[in-house]
Amino acid sequence: MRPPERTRQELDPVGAFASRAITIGSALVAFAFAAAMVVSYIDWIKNPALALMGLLSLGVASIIVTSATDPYRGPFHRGPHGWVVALSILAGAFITAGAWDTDALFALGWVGPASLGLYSIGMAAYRPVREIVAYGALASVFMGFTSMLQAQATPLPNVPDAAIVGIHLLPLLALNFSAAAFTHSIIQSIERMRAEARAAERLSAEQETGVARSVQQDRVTILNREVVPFFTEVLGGREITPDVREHARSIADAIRAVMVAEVDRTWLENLVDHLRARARRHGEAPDGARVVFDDDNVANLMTYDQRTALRALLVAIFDLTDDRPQNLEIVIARVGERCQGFVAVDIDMVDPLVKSKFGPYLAVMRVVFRRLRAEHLQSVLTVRFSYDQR
Amino acid sequence: MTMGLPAHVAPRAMSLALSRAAHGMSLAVLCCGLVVALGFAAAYPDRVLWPALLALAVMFPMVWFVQRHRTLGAGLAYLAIGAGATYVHTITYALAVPHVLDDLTLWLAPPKIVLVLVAAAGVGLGRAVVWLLAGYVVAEVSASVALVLAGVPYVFDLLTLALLLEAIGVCLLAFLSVRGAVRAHPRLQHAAREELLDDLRSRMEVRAAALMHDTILSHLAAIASSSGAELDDRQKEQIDRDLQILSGQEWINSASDATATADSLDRASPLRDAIAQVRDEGLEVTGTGDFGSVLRLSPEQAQALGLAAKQCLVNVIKHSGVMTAEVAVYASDDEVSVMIIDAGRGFSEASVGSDRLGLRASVQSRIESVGGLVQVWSTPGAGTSVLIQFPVGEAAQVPPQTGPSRLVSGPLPTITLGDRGPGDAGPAS
Repeated sequence: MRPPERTRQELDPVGAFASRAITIGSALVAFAFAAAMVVSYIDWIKNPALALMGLLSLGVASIIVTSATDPYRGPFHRGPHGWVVALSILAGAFITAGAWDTDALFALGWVGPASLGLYSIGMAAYRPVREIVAYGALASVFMGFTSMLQAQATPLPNVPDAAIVGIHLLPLLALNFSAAAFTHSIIQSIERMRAEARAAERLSAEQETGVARSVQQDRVTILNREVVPFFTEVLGGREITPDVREHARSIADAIRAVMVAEVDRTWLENLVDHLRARARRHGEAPDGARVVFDDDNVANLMTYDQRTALRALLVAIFDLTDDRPQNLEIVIARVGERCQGFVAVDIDMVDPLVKSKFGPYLAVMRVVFRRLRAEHLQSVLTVRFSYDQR
Repeated sequence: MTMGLPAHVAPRAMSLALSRAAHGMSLAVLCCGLVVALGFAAAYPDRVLWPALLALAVMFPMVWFVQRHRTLGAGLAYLAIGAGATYVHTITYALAVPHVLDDLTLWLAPPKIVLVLVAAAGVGLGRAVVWLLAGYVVAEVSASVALVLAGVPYVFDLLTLALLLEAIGVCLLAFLSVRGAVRAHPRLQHAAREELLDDLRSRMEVRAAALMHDTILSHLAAIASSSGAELDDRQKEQIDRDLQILSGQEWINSASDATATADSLDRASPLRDAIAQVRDEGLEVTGTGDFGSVLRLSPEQAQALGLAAKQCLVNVIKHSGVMTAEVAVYASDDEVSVMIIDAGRGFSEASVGSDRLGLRASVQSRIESVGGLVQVWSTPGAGTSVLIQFPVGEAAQVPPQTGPSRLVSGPLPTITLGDRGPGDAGPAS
């Protein structure tokens, strides 16, 4: 399992998912800003092909930011972050090279730094603060150098080179540092809340006693049905005849059968039964179709966090389909050293709505499972995940 | 499990984070502004540009102050000082290098941007937008007055306006994201609570199932295979006692009660009791190893170990065809292991019916529910060894497992005496 990172997507997956509008908005604005700048200075640009390649690089960077933060995909790692930074540096270089030795150079020198600054805002929820700052500083060095070359190649009248470099780097440094400060503050708030959350996760003594009473009552009910009357007779001096022996055997078999069934059930089967029973309580006929396929009982190998995340997703599926999910199927099996899970259900909604409704739960699952892939094709939502055998 | 910020904390945390972001941006902008001003000062050494540098320098502690004191007063002071600094910065440029402001006024933007990003007191989108607009108005008025007084024509500053719009957009989306995130929290928190309850119930059911197996099923099996017309008194007493225990609630609370009251010496008792009980039934048990290491287990683990070991030894009596067994205890820094070995007829996993519960309910589930691990090595004709392991010390921090794993693992790996540690020679009791 990959080591956890001090990022918002790991510590606050729901919050990171919910802030994806900022991510998409930043990626779109970055590209739109670059396109608008290139179009407005197109008459000055000597080499439109280079400017076009610059725009293409920013287009790819925007696609990376948008797709890698998609709730159906895996976590946003350092790799895509690095690619976005590299493409932005490249785009800035291409666009300024296309307008080299022209009056448009100063204005177009802003495109790379401003775009990368906006991407930093969009990626802040997904990467650690140190990485955001480090990549921003690295990009500043490259872009500052390019800006210095521009200032020397096409100096602005009466304006020193340092002023041009300072103004060119302003959007990158300002937005990058702002993104880092925002993420740092949110992560600090989350970490402060952790101790409180851990305390809330513990059950109270009353709740524990309630569960104990319930378990004990279940056992007493089983015993009172046949066992207690039988033993009362035996203890009362009843002769042990072959019939009595046979009766003892049959009671033992019945109890053993119940116990075996209990041992063979997983928390997941119990949960699905419970959720399906809600529809039954609404007066509907129970759906007899098998939902959970887990012949090896490997659902029990999930950690507490993994169970919680999957439970929340399933509850959301039942809630959002009025307790009647169509063609729900959950398959879990051992594959080599790991376990793999698969959830499929018909969700008759448009894709953006599915992402909006189930995105928070997928975001949490993505953090707690080793690997997660989700897709919504032809009205079927499928979620694939894997986890280690504890 | 971290699910993020709860609903009652999220808006305040978001306001704080946005304010930190604004002030972080302010510091970066001030640094860039200083580079620009120093560049001009170096390029025009005969002009008076130091007041612009001073105006920017004054804004550093101002940003720090409003970050530390997010109050209305601090915000108003920030606007007042910022207005003065912006005025000084603008008029310095306008008087010293008026020709560079003919086409571009970007050089004047840094203090204005810092003013826009006041981000002072208050929580919520409305407050944030009000502070942004107030900062923008104060910044533009200060700069305009300075330019007019210096006789430099006013040129609209697109950069500061763009920043204002960007900041409002980010605030809007950030607060909308808080609402979105908060909507999913109740279901996640409910799931987490349900999971805790389920885990507790499952551990209690494991205990109940194991007890039921050790008592009721055992008595029923004894009656089913008995040959006499009546049960003997000892058996009757045992049935009566077990029924009373199962009908009461003590068995469920016994382990936790034990945690509170048990003296550490008692932790070795369940294992010793188990050995003593099967000896009463005629099984010859040899104890080897360091039985004192059982003291390192928790009372709950010690109790589970005693009951599981008894079930293993009862299995030797019932199924192995021999009446001798060995119980070996050995320990390392992070683990206590107990091995129950017999040289009986052994078994293969395939030969054990799926309805047999002894190893699963009374040994495996019981031990796993208190954080231990069970492994069984058995080969038909070559005896059976059951290894029960408990992590102790730091290793014991790992949460208990309740999942199934492959129980019977084929032939036993060779264990030499050297593996057992120096103190492994003492008797069981």
